[in-house]
Amino acid sequence: MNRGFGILVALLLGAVILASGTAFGGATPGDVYRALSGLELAHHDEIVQAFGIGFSLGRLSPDRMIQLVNRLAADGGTQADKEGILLVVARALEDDLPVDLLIDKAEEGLARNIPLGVILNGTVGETRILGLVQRKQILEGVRDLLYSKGIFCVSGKGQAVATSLPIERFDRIVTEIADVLCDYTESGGSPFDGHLIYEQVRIRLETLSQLREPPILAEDAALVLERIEPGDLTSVILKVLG
Amino acid sequence: MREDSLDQLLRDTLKQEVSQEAFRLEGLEDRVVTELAGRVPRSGLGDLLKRLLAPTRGARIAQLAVVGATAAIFLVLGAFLGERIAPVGGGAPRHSTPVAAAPAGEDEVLFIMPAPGAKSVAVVGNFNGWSPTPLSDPDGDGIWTARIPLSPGRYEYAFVVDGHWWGQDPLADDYVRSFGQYNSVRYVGRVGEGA
Amino acid sequence: MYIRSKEEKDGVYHNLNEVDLLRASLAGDTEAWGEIVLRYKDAVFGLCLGFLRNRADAEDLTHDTFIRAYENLRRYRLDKKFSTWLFTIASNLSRNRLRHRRYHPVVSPPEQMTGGIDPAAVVAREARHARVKAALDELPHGYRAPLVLRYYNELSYKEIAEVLSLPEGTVKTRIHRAKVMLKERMERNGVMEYERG
Repeated sequence: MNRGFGILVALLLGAVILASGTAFGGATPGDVYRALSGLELAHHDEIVQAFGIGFSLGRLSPDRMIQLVNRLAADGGTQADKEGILLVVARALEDDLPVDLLIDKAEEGLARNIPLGVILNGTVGETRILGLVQRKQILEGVRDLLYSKGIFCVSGKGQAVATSLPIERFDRIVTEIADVLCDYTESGGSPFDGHLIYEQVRIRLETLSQLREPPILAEDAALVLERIEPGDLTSVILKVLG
Repeated sequence: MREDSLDQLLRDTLKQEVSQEAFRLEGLEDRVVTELAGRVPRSGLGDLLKRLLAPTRGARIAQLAVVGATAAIFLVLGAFLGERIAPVGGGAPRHSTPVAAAPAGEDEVLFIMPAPGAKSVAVVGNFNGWSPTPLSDPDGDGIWTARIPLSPGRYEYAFVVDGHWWGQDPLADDYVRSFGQYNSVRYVGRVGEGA
Repeated sequence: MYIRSKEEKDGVYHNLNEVDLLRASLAGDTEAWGEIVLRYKDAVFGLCLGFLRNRADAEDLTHDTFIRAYENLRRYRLDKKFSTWLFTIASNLSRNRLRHRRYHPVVSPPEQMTGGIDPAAVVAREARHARVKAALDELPHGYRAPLVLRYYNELSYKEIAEVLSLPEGTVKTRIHRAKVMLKERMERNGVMEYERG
């Protein structure tokens, strides 16, 4: 889908939702936009536009976003860091990435009273922490890896072609693999141990696919595990670690 | 990309790398001078400790020690709890917290934390947006519990005991590091378990 | 006997020129050598980091370079440029470490990214730098080292040739090729896209 068209659809949907005022159960996108306007954002329009895309594609939940925005508003961190956190989520949506992982980490960091700069940028030193900036890069790396393996491709008309996964299933796989890579890295694992990383990915995908009402289908897990190789996962991490 | 802008980008990137790591070089001259003057042998106990605790080599060892000690505590705790915990979704727990019945497709997951003397215990995780869900201890025996309905999936969580986070639940399926601390991990909806 | 305080000593050494500091060091004055370390530690660390792409290793080798240089100071000829001689030691130690690492791979932690005034600029700049670093990582060592000596240590082609024991022509060719490779990798990784806004 081209970006201009996506934005148009998002704005239209946003208008309908604002008019109805009752969509999405608790909070509405309108509530999120109102909360955002209280933050005095330098990139307000870009963020609102990107969130609109997120709401329309179902990648963003107004309930979660309102909670995140309110927590940011209440935090004593700098304005730049607050906006930086929202901007990473917005840029991820613009870049067509799933954002659950980013929102979850932001929420956890805020709940733990971690400084916003650390939530955003991570730290080096005795404890390795990945910030949202690096997590977004890992999501991007995983997404590009799966694209390159033909696990998801899009036809000219924006429709998924045969043998590829629909967007929700694809997002879920990308999120889970990226989360494994982040966990592995934060636990001090070396990216050069590709087989260990692959094993962690395999365990995660297979465990999820074996649950009752599995969040990841067994055939999706098998497809991914068949096509990716340990070295691919090493490359994704190395690109981010620098 | 223009030639001169590439040159500049390279210079900036390389300089930025060094300036970000400036803390590593703080006092290097003193360390070198001290070593050369032979006042403190480099292989001294302090240096050994420093190296053990250094981020790239020591962190793993220190982590292992912490994990080992924690595992020992859990073994004792596990033996104690083994008697008390009913399997998730089955049997009648001795310490239950009233919650709404789990909606269809969800499991009622038991969270249990021994915290004698604590004033408040809660569980936070990615199932509640990391906002505290309180545990209760109605009979005052120090074992705090909550039952939370969750749909099948993987959940990260930690307990908060009087404001302090505790991320190593003996009942967890796994542990991960997050923001330098541990989170517990539970898979809900394993076949043969739960609802 | 009057004993000078550390501040006074630091002040004395701070005002000495490089040749005097080296002479004092040769005479066994380790405090003078400390001033040399202070003056060159950033440059040596940057060089090692550029070679090794690993912060902890670079830190270790910066330390080792100054120890090794002091131990070998008698071999240094005062009429030669000191920095070139020092960089040669750092470069040799780095290359040895790289050879060792082929069999003992390690990885550096992610960089600490500090906040800035404009959050968009912070996000974009950090992403851009991360991609340049990723592109640098992918360069073969033989091409990366001359690039670092040129753009971080600001050495001339002649000096780079001396440090790396390579003909000057080879240095020029490698720097040119390295930049072409870097440009391709960065364009492939989308650095330009991140320069928007």
